[in-house]
Amino acid sequence: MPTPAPTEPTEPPPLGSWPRVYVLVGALAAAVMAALWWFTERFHVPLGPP
Amino acid sequence: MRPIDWIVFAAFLAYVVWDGVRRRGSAKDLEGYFAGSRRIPWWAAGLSIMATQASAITILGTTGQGHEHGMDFVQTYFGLPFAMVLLCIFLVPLYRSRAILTPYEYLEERFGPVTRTLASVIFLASRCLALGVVIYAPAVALSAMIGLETWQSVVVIGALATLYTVVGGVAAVIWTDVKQMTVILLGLGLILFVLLRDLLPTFAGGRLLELAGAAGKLNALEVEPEHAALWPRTWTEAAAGRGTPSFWEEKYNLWSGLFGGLFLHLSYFGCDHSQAQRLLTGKDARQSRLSLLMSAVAKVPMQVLVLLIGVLMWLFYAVHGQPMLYKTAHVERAASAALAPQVAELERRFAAAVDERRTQMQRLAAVPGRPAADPAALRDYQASVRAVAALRREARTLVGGAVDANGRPKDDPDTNDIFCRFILDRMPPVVLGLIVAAIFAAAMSSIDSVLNALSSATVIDVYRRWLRPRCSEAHALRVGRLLTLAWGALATLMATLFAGGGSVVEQINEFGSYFYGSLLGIFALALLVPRAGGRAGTIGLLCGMVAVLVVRCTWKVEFLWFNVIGCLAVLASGWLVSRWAPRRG
Repeated sequence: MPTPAPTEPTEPPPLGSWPRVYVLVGALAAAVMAALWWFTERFHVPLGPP
Repeated sequence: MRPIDWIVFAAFLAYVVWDGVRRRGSAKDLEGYFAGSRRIPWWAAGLSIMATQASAITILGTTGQGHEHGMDFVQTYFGLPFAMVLLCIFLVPLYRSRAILTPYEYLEERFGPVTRTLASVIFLASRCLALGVVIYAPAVALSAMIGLETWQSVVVIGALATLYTVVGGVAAVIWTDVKQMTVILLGLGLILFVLLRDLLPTFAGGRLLELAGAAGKLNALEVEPEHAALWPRTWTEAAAGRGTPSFWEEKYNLWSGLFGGLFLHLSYFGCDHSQAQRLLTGKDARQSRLSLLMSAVAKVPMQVLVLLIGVLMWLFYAVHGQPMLYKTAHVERAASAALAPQVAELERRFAAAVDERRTQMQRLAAVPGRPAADPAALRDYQASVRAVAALRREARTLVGGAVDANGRPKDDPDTNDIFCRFILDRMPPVVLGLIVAAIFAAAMSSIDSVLNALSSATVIDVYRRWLRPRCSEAHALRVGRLLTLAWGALATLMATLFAGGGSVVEQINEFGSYFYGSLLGIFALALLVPRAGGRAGTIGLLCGMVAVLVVRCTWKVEFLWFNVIGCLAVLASGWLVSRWAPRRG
């Protein structure tokens, strides 16, 4: 049976709180997907039927 | 390879082995050997997470995917950043509030020893088999480059990674991963530089992308599914050409990437011990979270870069002419007397098709504005692209020697050999040695992590839990080292069994998907259904795997969805069982 880990003082999260960090990561991921959507719309031409 | 390439390559390998072996000082007890004494900084664990995932497969298989099929594979990773955030919120606090060495120890606390052991055994079995593929991929590259047999290359790669992992434990794994990831990024950067330096004088950047896009290669995000039908076809219907292809048959689109990918990555990074082990090596939950979020931010852009390199390789060959066959075995078989006349005829048609494609490419490049401005030029260009691809397929079918279930010759893909051919033919001295080193780095960085994790799960979840519960730390550590050696030997043996065709990167993801959904499901059941006890856990886990097996054998459904199916099946069956057999106490 695992024993509880000893608690140690930890440094504060970046940006002051973890929810802010998660929102930033989610926003970055959405921005990358939006950029890829634009990239596909701009350059991709599906191969038509032979 | 030239002598200078050999020197660069050998120097890097020697450095990695030395760097791993010198970490033996930090592996004096179980926590040191399997958790790096919980003193690994977040950025090193983060790079190790990326290096473990970015195996040689990332370089060989993914660039090959980009060359052959374009960029649609990147969509598999769309769920990853969101998976990392969910893991930070739910699993990291769970793991870091306990002094555990494997995630499956938590399952015993929640469901009892049977579920813990079952989950651990699922991990051991699936990872050992997948590890065979991870060793095999770079072995193919080595064989093609320096003329060794594939099995000899398998032994070299397996032995080196096993050596420093046995001696240095997880600290050796993580710190060598840091160096290996650096070399991987450097190698990829050099290839990109060489490709752009060659292509940009011929076509401007935007025109280059338009030419690749007009060949159907820049399909990075597909919102509209190709097939709208929601009920999947059975394999019998698909084989007979009956029924409508369904949404679930599409390998890569936004939805399979977001949802299937989310479940795959939740399971891979949170419940697969070869990755979850990194979460246990930092000094606190903050370090674990930051190491996960590093991957969340960097992984998708890195995959875009790797796939783009594959697309640029395709452009390079379209401009300069390309070989009809990339695989060394294909080339050797094509030279045999029996096939020589047919191959010569194919070569002649292929050369003409490649010339035609180049002509049509130049014609399309001269169109003012976007390619669609001249529909005739676009149609002819696409026809020439299809013609070259069809002739390559015909040649691979002729010389590949692969047959389908009815004994008819079938395509023997060479996706994983394109990159090797390219760097051997086109890379300057020193750079070639560095890139071969990067392939090796990528292979070893994945192998070492899995070896240590396999050994850790065997010692902690099986040996010390069931066989020798009262054994001393020193004894368990000795067993851990011996098991690392044994797993290394077994995985190396497995690698020789994977000497088949197909895309290695897909094989790995597909194989993992048979088990990952169920593994994730059992952790989700622990978190979301407080009533679920030991019976619910064990029955749920078994039901999840059976559900995936039934779906896999009955319907034509792409592998990313197995993760969703397995997880939901565990949750549903576990919840049902918990209604009549609730958790005690």
